Amino acid sequence: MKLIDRLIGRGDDDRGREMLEDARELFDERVTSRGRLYAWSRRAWDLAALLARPPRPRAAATGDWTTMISRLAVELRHAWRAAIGRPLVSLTVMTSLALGLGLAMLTFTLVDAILVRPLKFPRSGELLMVATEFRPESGYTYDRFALSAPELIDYAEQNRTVQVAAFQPEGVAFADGVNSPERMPAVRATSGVFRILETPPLLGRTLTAADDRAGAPCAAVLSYGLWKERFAGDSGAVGRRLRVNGEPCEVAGVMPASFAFPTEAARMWLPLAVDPDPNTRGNHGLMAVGRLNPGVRLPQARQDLTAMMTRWVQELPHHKGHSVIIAPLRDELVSRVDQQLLVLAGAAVLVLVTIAANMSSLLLAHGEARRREVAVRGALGAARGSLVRQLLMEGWLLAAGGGIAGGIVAWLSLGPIMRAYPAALPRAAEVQFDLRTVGLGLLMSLLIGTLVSVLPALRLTRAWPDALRAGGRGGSSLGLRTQRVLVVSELAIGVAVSVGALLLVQSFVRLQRVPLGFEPDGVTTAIVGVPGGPGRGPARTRQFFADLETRLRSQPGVIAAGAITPLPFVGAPPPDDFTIEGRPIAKPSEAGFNAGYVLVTPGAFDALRIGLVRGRRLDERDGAEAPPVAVISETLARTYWTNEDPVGRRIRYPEGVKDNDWSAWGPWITIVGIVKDIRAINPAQLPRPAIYVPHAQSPRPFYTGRSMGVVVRADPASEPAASLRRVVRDLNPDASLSTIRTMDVLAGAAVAQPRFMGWIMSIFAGIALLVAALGVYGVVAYGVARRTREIGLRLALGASRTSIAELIGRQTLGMTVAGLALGLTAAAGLAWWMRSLLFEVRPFAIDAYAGVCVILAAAITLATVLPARRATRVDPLTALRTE
Amino acid sequence: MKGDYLGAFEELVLMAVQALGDAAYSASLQRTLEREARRPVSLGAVHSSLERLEAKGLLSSTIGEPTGGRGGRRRRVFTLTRDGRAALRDVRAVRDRLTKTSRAIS
Repeated sequence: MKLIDRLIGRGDDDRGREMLEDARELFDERVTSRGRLYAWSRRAWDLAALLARPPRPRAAATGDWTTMISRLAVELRHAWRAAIGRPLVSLTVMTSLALGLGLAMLTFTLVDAILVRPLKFPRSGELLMVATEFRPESGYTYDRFALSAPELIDYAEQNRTVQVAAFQPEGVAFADGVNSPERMPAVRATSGVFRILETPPLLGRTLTAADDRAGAPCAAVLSYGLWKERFAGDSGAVGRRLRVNGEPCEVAGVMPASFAFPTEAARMWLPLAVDPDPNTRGNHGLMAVGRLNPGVRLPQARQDLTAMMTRWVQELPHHKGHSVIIAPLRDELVSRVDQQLLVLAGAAVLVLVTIAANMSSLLLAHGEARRREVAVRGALGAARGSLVRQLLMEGWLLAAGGGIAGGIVAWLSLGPIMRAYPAALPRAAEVQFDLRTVGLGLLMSLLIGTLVSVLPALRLTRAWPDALRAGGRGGSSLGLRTQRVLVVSELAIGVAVSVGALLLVQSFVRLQRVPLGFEPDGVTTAIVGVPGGPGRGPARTRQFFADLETRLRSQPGVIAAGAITPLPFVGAPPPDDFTIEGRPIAKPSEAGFNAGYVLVTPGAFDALRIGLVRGRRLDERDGAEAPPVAVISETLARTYWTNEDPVGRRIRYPEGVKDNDWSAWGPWITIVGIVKDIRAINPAQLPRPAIYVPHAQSPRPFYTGRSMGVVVRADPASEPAASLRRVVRDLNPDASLSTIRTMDVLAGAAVAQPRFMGWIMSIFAGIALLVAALGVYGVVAYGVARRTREIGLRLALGASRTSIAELIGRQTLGMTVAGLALGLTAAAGLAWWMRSLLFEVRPFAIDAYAGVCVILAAAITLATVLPARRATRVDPLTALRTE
Repeated sequence: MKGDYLGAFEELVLMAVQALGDAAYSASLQRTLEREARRPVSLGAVHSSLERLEAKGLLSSTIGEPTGGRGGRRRRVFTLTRDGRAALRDVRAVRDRLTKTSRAIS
C-alpha cells in the first residue's frame, strides 16, 4: 500500500490529502447551498486541480529503490503533463506510431512463425528435403521433382551422412462406417518417415517396418484434427475399423496436434510400400524427407549425395541433366513465401523508420519552441542529465502509448487477415500473436522512443545559455536543416514503398486479367472417387463417370457437366513420355516426347468452356470400344509439330512403367483435335504441353481414373452442390466426395498470395505517403510560424502575397526534388530485388513510378498550400508587433 | 525575486487568514474568499497560494485539534508570521500613500 502511495506521489503528501478532504467538505456545503449539479462540477474542477498539481521535488536520492521509483514516477508525471500539454502533437505521434508498430508487429509475427521458428519436430534443424532438379537437357524443366524408387533406395542405403525416407501425398476416400465416404488429403509414408521425424504418437503407434511390406494390412495414423472430428477425441479409437479407398483399414495411432507433415493439409498417414525393382528409375513419384546423421553438417550431406548423383549421371543414361537438391525441410516448406515475407518485413521497417523520422522532426520543431523553457530551467540549475532524462522520458511515454495501441492493432487484425488469406501462407496454423511479438513490440517502442527524443534532447541542452540570450526567438537554422534531412528521407521511403506496392498491385491486376483458356465462373467442382478392388474393375469405374455425367446434365439448371483429372488449380498434370508414329523412339539419354496427362470425360470441355482450335473435341462416340483418340493443347502442337498439322497423327504410350521397356505398347492413339491452352496450375504459370485422353478409354493403366475432378456449369440458383451430392449418392453410395467448392474459390486461392501481398503493401504505402506528407506539412508550417516576423516585414516593405507563397513553395520544392530522386533510386533497387514477385510487370515499369510521383506531388502540394496560405494572410502590423 | 512582492491573490489570502483567526484553514479560506471576492475561487489556487506563502515565510501552519463537528478531521490551521503581518502592513501602507496621492491630484 505504501509503495503504491509513493508511486502515485501521495505517500507523505499531506497537502494532497488535505485537498481531497477539503473538496469533500466543500462539496457537502455546496450541495445544500447551490444544488447537486453545481457541487459536482465544482468538485470535478477541484479534483482536476489536485491531479494537475506539479509534482514536488523530493529529497535527493538515498539509494533506496522505492525512492528511485518514486523519482521515476515524478519524472513520468512531468512527461505526462508535457504530453497532454500539446495534445495534437502527442496524438499525431501516437497514432502514427500505433499504425507503424502495429504493422511491424503483425509482419514480425508472420515472419517469426513462418520463417524463423523451427518446425515442430524434435531437433528439427536436422531435417531435410531431398529432390531432383531436371535441367532442360533432361527433356524436362523442373527445379524440384520427385524421386524414383531405385534412386531413393540407393540414397537411403549407400550414403553415410543422412537418413532418407519416402512419402507420397495422395487424396483418399475415408469412411468411418458412420458417415458417407469423404475424400481428403492423406500421405503415404514409409516407417522411415516417422523414424526421421521422431515425433511420438499421442495414442497407439506410428508406422513400423512391418507396414512397409507390399501387401501389408492397411494401418492408418490419424491426424489430431481428424481424430477429434471423427472419433470425438475418443482414446479408444486405436484399433477401430475404417475404410480407406473402399479397403478395410485399422486405426494404428493418433498424432499430436502439433504434428503437421508435410503440410497442415494432411489428415492421415498410410503405409507406403516402395517397389524395389531397379528398373523403374524413370518413374519419379516419391518425395523424400531426410535427417542429418549426428555430427554431420548439410554441406557434407550434399557432397555425399551429389557424388552419388554424379556417378549415376555417368553410368545411367536416365539421369542426364539431373542434379540432387538437398535443403533444410523448413526452407523448402516456406520457399514459396520467404521472399514475399522479407519484402513485407523490409517495408514494415521502412515505414517504421519514416514514422520515427516524422516523430523526431515533430518533436524537434516543438523542441525549438521549448528552447526558452529548457534554457530557463538550465539557467536555474537543472542538471543537463536530468533534462535529457526528462526529454527521453517524454519520448518513451509517447512511444509506449503508440506501442500499446500498435499491439492492440496487430492483435485485432491478425485473426481477420489469417482468415481472409488461408491459402496465402504455409504454416498458417502456427501463426499466433504471442509474448515474443509483444516483447519485440516493446523493444521497438523503447528504441524508437529513445531515437526520437535523443536528437531534440541533445540539441536543446547544448549551449543553452545562448538560447536564453537570443531571447528565445526562432530556432537555429541547424534545427531546420536536421528536420529537412528527416523529411527528405521520409519522402524517399514513401516513394520507394509506394512504387513497390503499385508494382505488386499491377501484378495482381494483370494476373486477374490473364486469359486462363477456360471460364471458371459458374463452375462447381468436387473430387469424386469410387473404390477399386475385386469386382470393381476399370469398366465399372468408366461406367460410373459416364453415368455421372449424363445424370448431372439432366439436373435442373445444369448447363454442362464433366470430369477432369487433375482439376485445374488443384493439381498439375503428371508429365508422361510417349512416342510419335514415324519418328525415332528416343534413346534413354535423349529427351523424348512428353506432355501432361489429363483424363477427361467429354462434357469437361463444355463445362470449363475450353475453346477448340482445330479438329474436334472428344465426345460420346469415343467409348471404350471405339478407336483410341486424344486431343492435345496448342503448346503441345507447337512443340512437336512445328510445321505440320498434328490432327490425324498417332502417338502411343509404353505399357509398363519400367525403364527402357519398349516391348509392350499401348494402342495407337489418334490426335483428333487441338484445344486452347489452359493455365491449370495458377494464372501465373505458363501452360505446359497437355494431352487430353478420354476417361472411357484411359489407355494408361497406371492412372486408374478412379477419382476424378467433377466440374458442373450451372445456374447458381439451382444449387448445383446439392444436385451433385444427390446424384453421386444415388449412383453409388460407396463413392466418396470431397468438399464441394466453386471454381471461383479455387481460382481465388490460386492468386491469394499476390492479392495478399498487394493489399498489405498498399497499406504500408498509404501510411508511408501519409506520414511523408505530414512531415512536409510539419516542416513548412513550422517554417512559416517561425518566419512570421520576417514575412510581416517583407509584406510591410511591399512584397506581394504571391512572392511570399513562392518563398514558402521554394522551400518544399528542394525537399521534394531530393526526396523523389532518392526515392525513385531506392524504388528501382527494391523493384529489382522483388522482381520475382512481379507478374508481367517489368521492375522498371515507368507508369508505376510516374503514378507515385503524381500522387506524391498532389500530397505535397496540399501539405504546402495550407501553411503557405496562412503565410500570405499574415498581417504585417500584427506580425511586427508580436514578440 | 518575485517572492519579495505579494501577488494580488496572495494578498487576499493573507488578509483572509488574518480575518479568520483560529478558523483559518484551507476549506474555510476558500469559502470566505469566494464569498467576499464574489467570484469562483478554485481550491487548487488556494492551496498553492498557501503553500507558496508558507514557503516565503509569511504564513505558518499547525495541525489543529480534531474538530467536534462532522467527520472530526484534523485541520491544518494557518496563522500569520511576523513577516506576514509586516508584509500586510507594508501593502496597506503603500495603498494608503497611493490613495492620499491620488486625492491630492484630483
